[in-house]
Amino acid sequence: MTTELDTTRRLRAWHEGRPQPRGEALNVHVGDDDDILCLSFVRMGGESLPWGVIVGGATTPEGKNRKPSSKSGSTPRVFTVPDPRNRDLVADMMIAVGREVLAHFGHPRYCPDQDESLSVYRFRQLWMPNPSHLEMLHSLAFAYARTRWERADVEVLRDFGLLANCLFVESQRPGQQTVVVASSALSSVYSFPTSPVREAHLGHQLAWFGRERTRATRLDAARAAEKFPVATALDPDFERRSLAPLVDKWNDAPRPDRVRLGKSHASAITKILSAELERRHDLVVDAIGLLRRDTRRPNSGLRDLVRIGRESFSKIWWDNVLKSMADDPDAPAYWPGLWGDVTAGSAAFAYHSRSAAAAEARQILVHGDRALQEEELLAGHGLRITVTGIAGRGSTWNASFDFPEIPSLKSGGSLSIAGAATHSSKSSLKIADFDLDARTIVLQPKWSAARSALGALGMSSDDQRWVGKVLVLVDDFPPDLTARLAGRAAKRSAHDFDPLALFKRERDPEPQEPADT
Amino acid sequence: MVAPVAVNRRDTRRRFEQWVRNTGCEANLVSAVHNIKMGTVARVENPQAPREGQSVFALARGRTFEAGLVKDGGARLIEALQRHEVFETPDPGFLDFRTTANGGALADLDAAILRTEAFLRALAQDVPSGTDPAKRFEGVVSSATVRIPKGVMLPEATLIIDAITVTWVDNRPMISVGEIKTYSDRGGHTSRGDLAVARAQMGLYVHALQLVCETLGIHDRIEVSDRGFLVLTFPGSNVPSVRIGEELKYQVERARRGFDLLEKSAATLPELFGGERDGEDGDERVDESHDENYRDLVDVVLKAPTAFGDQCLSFCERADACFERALREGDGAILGDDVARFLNGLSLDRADELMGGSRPHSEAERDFLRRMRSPLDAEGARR
Ligand code: SF4
Repeated sequence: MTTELDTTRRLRAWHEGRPQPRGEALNVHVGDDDDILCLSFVRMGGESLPWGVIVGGATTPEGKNRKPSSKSGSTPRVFTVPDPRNRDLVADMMIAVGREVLAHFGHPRYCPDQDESLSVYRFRQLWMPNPSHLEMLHSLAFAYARTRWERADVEVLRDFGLLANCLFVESQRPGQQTVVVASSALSSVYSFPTSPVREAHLGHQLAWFGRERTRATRLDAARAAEKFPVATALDPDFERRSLAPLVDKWNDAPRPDRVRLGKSHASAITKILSAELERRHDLVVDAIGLLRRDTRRPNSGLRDLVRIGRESFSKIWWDNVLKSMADDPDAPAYWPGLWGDVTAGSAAFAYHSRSAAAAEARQILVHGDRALQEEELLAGHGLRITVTGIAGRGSTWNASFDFPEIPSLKSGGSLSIAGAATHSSKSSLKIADFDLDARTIVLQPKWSAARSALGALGMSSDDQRWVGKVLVLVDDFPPDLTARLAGRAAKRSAHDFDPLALFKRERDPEPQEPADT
Repeated sequence: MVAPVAVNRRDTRRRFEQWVRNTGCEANLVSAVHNIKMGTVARVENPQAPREGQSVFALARGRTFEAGLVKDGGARLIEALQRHEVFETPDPGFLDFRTTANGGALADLDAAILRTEAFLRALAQDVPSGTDPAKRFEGVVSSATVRIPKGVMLPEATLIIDAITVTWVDNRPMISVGEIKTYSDRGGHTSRGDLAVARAQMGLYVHALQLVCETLGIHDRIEVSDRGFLVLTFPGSNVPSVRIGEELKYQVERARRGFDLLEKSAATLPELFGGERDGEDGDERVDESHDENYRDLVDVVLKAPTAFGDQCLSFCERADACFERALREGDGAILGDDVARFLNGLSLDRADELMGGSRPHSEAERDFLRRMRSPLDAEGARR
């Protein structure tokens, strides 16, 4: 049903000729300037490590009122190498990039000014243009997190690789707000008058918000924007025409002399790559600006998601950083593995953990947005009732329901009143009995006294003003139930699975030698 | 009247995969069957049409990576496979059926096909004497090349298989197909799309090998496994990362059904070919615009009916032009395949009018308006 809802929303957006707000509230957290770091990559065709990187803050770039932000001087910094098949050069570049990213996330080794006694992870965000940039982060983790390469500053590479992996792992947790893919963020906040396949292109999405006057001209602008890639890969034809001859010339010199003799070719390559990188970066900054200008209020549940994200990332990254630095053999660091779910047990564990996180995120956000409540209801995760009577001094409510046609109800199950929740309390009701033919239900409120924090829906359970009210109830199951299931599934798997194995160092047959192709 | 032109019998896999991406489009069918490159058609239609094609660096890296795997008697590839205990023998053999165009010693694809068939026959003959493990072949074959001996419009389809392994199970040779790709193996996070493409290719190879063994009458003496292996790279390096035991049952079935359907669809096309015309596998930039027959065929593709859909954006160089056409014709597919289904025959322009308040004239239009309303608003109480 949610898919059909997406379809009708897209048709409405087409009719209006521009993107339409999706939901009453913004369901993506946009941090402050100091919280946000934007990171984009480009790579050479066939390579998995970067050819160039751009790192910058969330403020409007120069040329379009570019002004320095409070974040690290924050005109975006561009890093490139003439040929990414040279692993030494790429490593040199990634050491410089790594220092910036590690400093942003507050790694004590890279923040000389930080008061180490604080020892607390402060929530930070990383914004990237589209999912291919996230994949690059994972490739960097593979390349550097466990490296035994003997070279200068290898610990920076290792620290950065470990951070990259933790960021990638966190990005897979539903509801997380630490790593934001800009195109996905826009898709979750707006319905676009375009095919979902095209929505993956951040430039296409943003062009729909342009100043063009008609749907046709906006569509033309969006299609024109699409011609410029946003992913890490460059346009193959552009790469062949503009870059391949320069790379060939740079490689003409004997290997030991390339850097010295190839300066002019290298700077020509940098110039081309910089333009590509800046375009990607500007799009991310534009996306952040767009979300900041949106007049909708942020979903009240986002505060909780940010708190959970801070705790989660602190656990997988920050705590391990502190342990590594303390170097106490009795309290070693347990870093997340690189390979994902490699055994049946770990896959079962991860599946249930992610279900739990997804349910938790849904529960947290649904109360703050009526459009999400509608989605929940249409997806069969709730019930619409009219309260018909209150008995037992508020201990029992009688109600009729009109949607959905065939609800999935269970005696003893729990539902909560949509919209009646703060981060600390909500209005839950236990299902005492129901009659599917008569379409009636008996509910037992789990609260009694009035709660002013819940506003109009904070009345005491025996308040007669409930009678006649139409309420949307959403499924209300404790996410820790699914989390507990995760542990049990892992234990029961044929493989003697220890959840901590997920956080142990892996022994991968790793390629470490710097080798040119 | 279009003069008869040969079906290009090479590069079958690319053409088959092209057709599979949009089986509902007749232009795509003609292009795949007659090997009329869609890029050429797209540029006749619009000289500014974007070029798809692969990165020159990616192609070069692919060649370097493959060459590195098979040099020195396939030492690197064999070592990578041995890490997964693929072979029983400590000293697996290596055969190289690459053509000179691909860095090998064989003159051309025909020579490679003959060598592969001879190898398969010899392998089948090894069975009676298979009790002597010292004599039988166990190891890797690079670039085994097969010709699918059936079909209507694709009478002979040529496929070059990156690598096959031969092992022995109950004194019977078992062939497993392998696909070499340069993209990085990131464990459970390896690109699903890339993996799906590689598995689809392997499924096609298994199907082709089974057909060839049947034609050679040796299918009861050689087993072609429905599990293959992938040779990927470790991120950031050229070190091979092998994934064995890739389940291919459904991909083989997909290939079998796909070929059947392709033949049936192709049989409905006008007869356009007669002689011979060869090209090389993966050769996408051959300029055939000087060929008058080819230009006529381009015209046939241009005039064939199209069926624009989401998938077109990811593979077809005519996507822009077909989108324009679909937009002009009010085809809901421009907003996604789900919109086309939702409109159920109604044009997007009419749907637009109905959403703007125009009165519905038919049951289909009333139904559309009903479905556009949220079921939550349709009936029952309001908050
Ligand atoms: S883009 Fe056009 S020609 Fe190509 S497959 Fe789609 S509909 Fe057919």
